[in-house]
Parts: sequence; C-alpha cells; structure tokens
Amino acid sequence: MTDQERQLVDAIAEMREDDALPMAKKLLADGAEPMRVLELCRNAMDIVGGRFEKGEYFLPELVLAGEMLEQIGAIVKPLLTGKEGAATKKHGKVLIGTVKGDLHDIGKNIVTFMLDINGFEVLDIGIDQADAKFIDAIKNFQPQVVALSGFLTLAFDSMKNTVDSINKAGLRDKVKIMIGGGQVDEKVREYTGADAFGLNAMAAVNLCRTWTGVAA
Amino acid sequence: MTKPHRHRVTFAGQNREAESGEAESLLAVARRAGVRLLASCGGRGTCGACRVKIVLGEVHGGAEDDGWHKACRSHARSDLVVEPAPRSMAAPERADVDSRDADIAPDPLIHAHDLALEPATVEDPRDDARRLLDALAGRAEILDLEAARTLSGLLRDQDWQIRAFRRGPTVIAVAPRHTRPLGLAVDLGTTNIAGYLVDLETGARVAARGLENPQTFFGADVVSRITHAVREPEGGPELRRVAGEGLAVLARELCAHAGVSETAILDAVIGGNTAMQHLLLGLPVKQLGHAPFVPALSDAVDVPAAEVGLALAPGARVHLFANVGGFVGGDHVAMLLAIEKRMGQGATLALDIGTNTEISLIDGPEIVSISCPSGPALEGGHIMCGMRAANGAIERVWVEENGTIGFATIGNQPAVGLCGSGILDAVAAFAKAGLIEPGGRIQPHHPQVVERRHKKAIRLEGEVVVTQDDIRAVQLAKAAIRAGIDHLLKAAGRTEGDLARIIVAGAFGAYIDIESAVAIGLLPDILRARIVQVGNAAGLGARMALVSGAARARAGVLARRCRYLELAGQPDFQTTYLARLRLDPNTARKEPT
Repeated sequence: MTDQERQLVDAIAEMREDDALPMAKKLLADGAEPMRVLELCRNAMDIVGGRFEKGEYFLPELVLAGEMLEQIGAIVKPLLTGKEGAATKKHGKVLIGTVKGDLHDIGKNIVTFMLDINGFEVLDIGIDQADAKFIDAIKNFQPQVVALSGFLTLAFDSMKNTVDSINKAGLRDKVKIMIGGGQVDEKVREYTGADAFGLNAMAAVNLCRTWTGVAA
Repeated sequence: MTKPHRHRVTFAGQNREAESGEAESLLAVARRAGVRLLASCGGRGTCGACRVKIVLGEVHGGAEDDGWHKACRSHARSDLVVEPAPRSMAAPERADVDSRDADIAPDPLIHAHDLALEPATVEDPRDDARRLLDALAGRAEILDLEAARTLSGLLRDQDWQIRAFRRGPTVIAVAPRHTRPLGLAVDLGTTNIAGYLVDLETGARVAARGLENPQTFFGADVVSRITHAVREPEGGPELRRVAGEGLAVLARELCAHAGVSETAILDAVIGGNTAMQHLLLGLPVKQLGHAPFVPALSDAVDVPAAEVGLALAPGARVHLFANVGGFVGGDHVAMLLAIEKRMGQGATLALDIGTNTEISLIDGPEIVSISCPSGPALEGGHIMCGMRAANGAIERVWVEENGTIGFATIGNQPAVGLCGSGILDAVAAFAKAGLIEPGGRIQPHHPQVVERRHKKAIRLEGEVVVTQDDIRAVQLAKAAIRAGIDHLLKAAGRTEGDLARIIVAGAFGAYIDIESAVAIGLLPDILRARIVQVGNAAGLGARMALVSGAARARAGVLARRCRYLELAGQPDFQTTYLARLRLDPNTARKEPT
C-alpha cells in the first residue's frame, strides 16, 4: 500500500470526513484504478468494524463511515468499466426486515449498510413486516440469507412465527436465517428456530460470509 | 430410582438458608430463601447483577473470569456457603425523596360522622345496621357487609358512641370515636415503590416508606416483566401476586410505624406506568409489548382493595389513575397533577426520568406525552459496577483543578460501585477531562484507563470501573430521552428556546447534577433558573388525589388533555437519535425536519 493509499484508509478509519473524499479524488486523479479505491474503502471498513466490535466505535461512527463511503462510491462507480463493474458482482443476496409488531430500524439499517459495503446484495423490506411479506420477498428475490430484526423481546415470537411460516411455505431449506436486534442469545435462537444469531453488524457480515462461502 | 441430590445453601451474612436441588439456579434458591439478589435481566445471564462468591462448596456453571459467579447460572453440586456481592444486595435507601405534605385543601371522598345511637330496647328493636343508617339521616343508604360484621360488637363495646366512615351512600367502616381516617398513596414504580400514609382530614403525612418493587426479581424493565407475563404459563398471575405482596408489605410497615392497624386505611390511590397498573390489575399485557402498544384499559378504575392484594378497612377501595397511552401511565398523570400549579405561562417540559422516561410538553390546552425506553443505566442498572443509592455508592464525580477525577460516596464509605447520579456525573467528568471523546470512545494512554474483558475501562478506585460498554449504555439512555424531547418540541412546533421551564421529576431526577445532565446533552441548555428538580412528584400527585376528590377529578381532566405520541412511528427518529448519542450539550446538528 502506498503512502497515499494509506492516508485514504486512515482518513476513513479515523472519521476524518473532510479529508476522505478529497483524498479519494486525488488518488483517482493521480491514476489509481477505481477498483483499487473501492478495495481501500473495504480495508478501511474492516478497521471500523473491528473497532466497533471492541466498543471503541459506536453507532454514529458506523453511520459516518457509511456516509463517507457513499460519497466516494458515487464518484468511483461511474468510472468502472463494464468488465470491472461485473467484478464488483455481489457475494450473495440477503433479505432483511424488522418482524411484525416491532418498529425499530436503527440496527437493521446498520446491518443493511454493513452487508452492502461488504459486497452483498441486500433487500430491506422495512419494519413491522408480517410473515407473508418475508415469504413473498423470498420467492421473488431468492436470497441465500434471511435476516430477521427485532428489538422488542416480544418480537422473538414474531421471529418464531416467521421462521415457522417459511418452513410451512417449503422455503426453509433454501435459506439460512439469522436473527438480531435485541438481547438475543442461543436460547432465543433455539426458540425462534433460526440458524444463528448476531449481536452486532459485524457478526451479521461474518455469518453471511460463512454461509455464502466468501473468505473473510 | 436414585433420590435427587439435595444441598443446603447458606447465604453468608444474611442469616438465611434454603435447600436446593441440582437443577435450580442459586438465584432461584436465593429468592426462595428471601435473599434479595438483584437480577436486572430477569435471570437470563446477561447483566451480571446477581454476582455471588462461592465461599464453600462446589457449583456447576456461572463462573466469571474474576472468581465471582452469576447466581442465575450457577447450580449447587454440594452444600454451599454463598456470599452475595455488596452491589447485588444493596437495599434502596432513598426510594422516598419527597418530604413535603400535599399543599392542598383536603376534600376527601371519605366522610367521617360521629354518631350517638339510641341503644336498642324491647320497644325499639331495629337492627343495628338500620339504626346506624337512620342516625345518618339520609346521608347513607348502604352498610358494607364486612363493616356490618364488626358493627354490633363495636356499638355495644363503645356504649353506642361510634364513628362511621362513609363513601357516597355507603358506610364502609365503623370505628371508635376519634379514630383518625387514614389513606394510602402509592407511587408504583418499575424499580421502587414509594408509599405514604396520610391523614385524610388534614392531608398531613403520617408515615412514608420506600420499597424495592419485588417484581424486579423478574426483570429490571417493563419489557422484561411483560415478557415474563407472556412467556411463562403462570407469569401474569405471579407478577400480579408479587406486586400485591409488595403493596401489602408497604401498608403493613407504614401502619406499624404509625401504630395503627391496616384496617384503619379507608381509601387508597395508586399510580404506576401502564404496564405496572396492568400487571397489578391482572389485565393482559401481550398487546402492550409490541406495536402499536395498546393498553387493555386506559380509564381510571376504582376496585375493592382486595383486588390488589391489600387488606384495608372493610369497604375500602383503591383508585388507579387513568393511563395516557403506550407506556405513559397513571404515574405520569399523578406527576402532572402534582406540578399543575407550576405550569404557568409558556411551554413547560416535564420529565419523569426512570427506567422508562415519560415526558410531557404542556403548551396551552394540549399536553403531548411520550415514553422513552431509556433503560436502567441512569439508575445504575446494567452497568458493570452499577448499584442502588446505598452506602458506598459513588454519587458524585467531578474533575479536580489538576485535571484528575474526584468522587464522593454515599455515607463516605469505601467505593463499592456507582449509583445513577454517579454514572451520569462520571460520564460528564470523563468527557470534560478528555478521558473520553465526545463520541464516547475512551482515550488510550491515561493512567486511569485499564482493560476489562478485552475492552477499555476507566478505573475510579479499587475494582470500581466505568467500562466502555457502560458509557455506551449512558449514551443510549441519554439519546433516547433527548431525541424524545427533540421530537416532542417538533410535534408542538416549538424550539428549546421557547421553553419557559423544565421540570425534572422522579427519584433519579432529584439527585442528578443538572450541570452534568446539560453537559452531556441529556437536558436542553436553557437558563438554569428555568430547570427545577421536584423529587417524587408522582408520589405527591397520588397523595393529592387521595385527600381531595377535586384533585382526583382534575387528574382525570389532565389525562384527557394528554395526547400520546408514539416515537417509534416517527420517520426521522433514527437520525435524531444517532445525532443525540454524542456527549455534548448542543449537538442539534441534525434537527428533525
């Protein structure tokens, strides 16, 4: 990694939002490959994710990092040629939504964002979604992973109902199901019938990587 | 078949012991033995509040890295001697923080009549009840059956000179002359119950008492209680019974203090949040636990005292305030009643800070009310070294002139943990001293920064630390409240500058340092003279409604003026919430649009 490249990674990882975009522009102006810039962004996000797991970064840092990446992505993506564009093909498809009876979406949005920048194609169907909505979306979108979000403890019942309905619809074998959002643990996972639970956005990314065979 | 292993578990320093099987957790054993171990998470193994030391014997499970055990995860494998952590046991000392009498002209619903009855004779053999009602000359038509059971004996013991207590057309109790009419007012909080014994004729407070809500055994916050009620087959009835037992203990202790029997209590008023009132009345709570958070019943209710586990005077009833909506319940209405005369001109923001924080904006005829899930962090719950306000709790933290962190504990005892006001101060002081950045991240390279469970923490003294996760919990609590305030103001078309006053109620609110609250952005940065701390206003409101029928009616009017605003349905709430996570006074960068 060149010094200039290192500076871009640092700017994103250290939350210097005023520096990040100009640095990315300068890299491109100096002849860097657009793909290389996106790769640096992912490197930076690995650092951000690691700090988040250690509690050093918190929700606003994730959101801020997301905004920086969105800005950089907006100038880089038009520069990608067809072949390179194809190379950015997503690792896999993830369907995400907050289950029936729960209106919380902060955690869900962060997971969506983290999955997206880590190369997954994500369909977010929103909050307070009934089982039928998940099932329709599974049929149409054909995801490998379904992520059920819920913050309220009673959302666990909705998660269980949703998993049951996916089962009844004969779709259970086609998807891996992960749950998260509230105080989930192994007991809750077992209760809902999901395949795994995650305590934060990085855990969600890691689960999806494992399930879709992407090297971490 | 082998006999299941039974072990004897002794709780050191508690003088308590119980037998245990091998399947039962030590937390369950402690509860059975009457040892009040905290379990903020309801025994799910996530909070670490129920820490104990295994002094003697073998257990299975629950071991922590530092030699302590989580009681909810440990099971006896031999006879045991168990020592609860000081933080797990500390009893509430300041549940009752308001000593003022209700400043209100008594106009009780119970009327006392001193009567001199004509003794029964062969010529006048009217029954005793008729004789009593006749003496009341049309003011009463009915004698409560339970009161009738005591009447005949009393009349003859007291030489036909008695005192009758009447509610409307019903005589609810009879007593010797000069018996003081007493009432019971209760602020039924999620964490603490505050009770007051009040003279109904004068409005004077006869006794006051605080008690931990015994439902706390089943979880620290309303959501975990609702979950218990919904999930466990007997969960609802169990929570109802336990709440009633708490009220009964409170009544017994208050009466013992005043030297009277509980049957001297003629009337009672209880205010709790929607969930507490539902659980107490045995109303269904499942629909309250998820969107759109609908109460089963919102109107005020009057029920026989026995319905809520109280054995009071024969015909005594219990009044519960109306609920507003969502989790904004009767205790908030009680608070509004207590602060009504402070509302005055201009917009008033009134907060009752607790595990659930209810906030109202009173602006003209309308009152808009919200409920914020602030969590137990501000009360010292779910905090690694969090504890109740008891001896040894750090209650004040500040930055010394040389930049180091100073603190004071309750009772000047060696520091054992931090209570709510201490946590809030600590976070504000750390931010001021640069130990944490405004985003909440602990800065490395400071002598007080240590590692706990692979994460950074700030050491105050001995083993008492504030961890990175603790700071995050305070940020989440603070952001929930402040973002709620932002949206409340927005809904009313107001700004912080329009606020004529902020009234901070609640036990926690009484002890917080306003400067710390403003410094981390919990409260708007307005003129300090406009911010008032009023203590347990819900308790005061309950006392007012107890001694005055007019006040009780006004509480009903206030409840009807309230419009409940569901924050979870606000489209830009997330943006505001995230912006408000920052620990500084003026992060209104992303005002709701």
